[in-house]
Amino acid sequence: MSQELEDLIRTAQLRVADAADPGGVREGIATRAARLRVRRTIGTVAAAAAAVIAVALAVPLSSSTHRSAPIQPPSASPTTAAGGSPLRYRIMSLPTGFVEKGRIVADPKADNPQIEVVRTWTADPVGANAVGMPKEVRLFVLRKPDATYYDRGTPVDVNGTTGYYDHLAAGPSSTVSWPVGDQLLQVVAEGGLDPTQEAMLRMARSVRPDPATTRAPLWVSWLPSGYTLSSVAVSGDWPAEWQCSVFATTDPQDGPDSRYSLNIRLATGTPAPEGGPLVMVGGRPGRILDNEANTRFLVVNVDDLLLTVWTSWPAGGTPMPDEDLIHVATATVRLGDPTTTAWIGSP
Amino acid sequence: MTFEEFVGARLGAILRYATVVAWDRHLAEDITQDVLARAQLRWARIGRLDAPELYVKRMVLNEFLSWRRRRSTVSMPVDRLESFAPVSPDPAAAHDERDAMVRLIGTLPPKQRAVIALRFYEDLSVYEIATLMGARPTTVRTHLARALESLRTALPSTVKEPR
Repeated sequence: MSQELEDLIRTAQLRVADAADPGGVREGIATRAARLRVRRTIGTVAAAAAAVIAVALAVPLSSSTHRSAPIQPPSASPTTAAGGSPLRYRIMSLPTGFVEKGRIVADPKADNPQIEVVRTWTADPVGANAVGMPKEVRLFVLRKPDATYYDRGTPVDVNGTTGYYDHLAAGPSSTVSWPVGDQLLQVVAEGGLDPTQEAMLRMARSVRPDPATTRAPLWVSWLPSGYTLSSVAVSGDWPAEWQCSVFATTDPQDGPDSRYSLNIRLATGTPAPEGGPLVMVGGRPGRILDNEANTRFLVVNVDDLLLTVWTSWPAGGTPMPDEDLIHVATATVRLGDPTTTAWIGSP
Repeated sequence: MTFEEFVGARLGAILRYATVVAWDRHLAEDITQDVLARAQLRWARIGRLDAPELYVKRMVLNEFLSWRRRRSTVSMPVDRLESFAPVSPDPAAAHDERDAMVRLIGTLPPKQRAVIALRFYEDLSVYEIATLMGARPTTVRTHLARALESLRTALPSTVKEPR
């Protein structure tokens, strides 16, 4: 029976495998790759800004007895940090009704491509979505760009500099990319806008230096040993309605898939599944649970919002101890400084 | 080997593998597109590996088992399996054990389904599967035993009888 059963399984598997049709898959790869280049800025993004906050605000730590150290600023100098993270550039000519609803500030050492700042404008409500609206315009400030990513498309003039306009016929977005010093600027319009080349160039040519700085509304004062901040993302529809995500990772020891990651998110919702036993975190009720895909969640009720701290570990790795997750949660402070989110909803 | 050359040569094999792991043609296509798109962005590194196809297959497995896919893999509607109906169905075999097996494998939990894909479609040993999944061999054996027991128990009685 065992051999017969195995033969039946193999026969069924071969039959199912024969149903695969690579024809439609091949065309979609390039489109998804282009979309991923944009999305990975969000997924991996986040945090010179948090580092900035750690330097700028002298909030006392309660973790001095812990084995791990307070987070250290990954890249920004203390001088720069004291005033917030620089935004570098902004788009002056946007579609009618577009306002800024998302900012991401990242440590450009933490990921490839080397993202420094991402700013998002849209006329649509973003709700719980950090970014990724079908009709939005984003400005990327990248450092040390990999030219193979960005010099594709039609050469165009952007205020005297040669850039490239690229429109993915079946893809999600149009882009204009051009170098400025050791940085690369990229204007990206999502496919829902379907802008003309002229409209894209008008936005690109309107990009100007922006001396403003930004600070995150959260401060994370402690991370487990080995983790460094990667990025901070803030988004919302109004200054009083925002969500903030902080992302940290370990250095991959054995390739990118060996990396541990840590997400800290304060928002109206949570990505965690239902369930989990009750735990008390700083006097607040929370729950802690694992899913079957190497991810452990801690969800804590913080007034009208949910603080979710979750960590993923690579196959064969070990999960972060509950006490460390709880320590991260208790070390996360909502600043209550309205100036940190005053830009949300402004052009 | 460039990424384009790799896709040209191995896309069919990878998609077949993904289809057997996911047991859902549409999900497999989705996973394969996602994984290859990610691989394209990292091809400077992946392309230098001794076995880039093995690496990509591991990405497919991880993607299938990742929490982002859980919602779509935990409970698979039976009608999705109709997409596996043979192009020229054999009326005489419509209800035979092969059809039953196709349906039953689709009801297995994702990890069990992945293990039997690696064991019987890829012909990997328990230790190789454990390495690929980042699990202990005893865990893999448990998944495999439970999968086989579930299939054996659920098969139509006519199939269980010795022939």
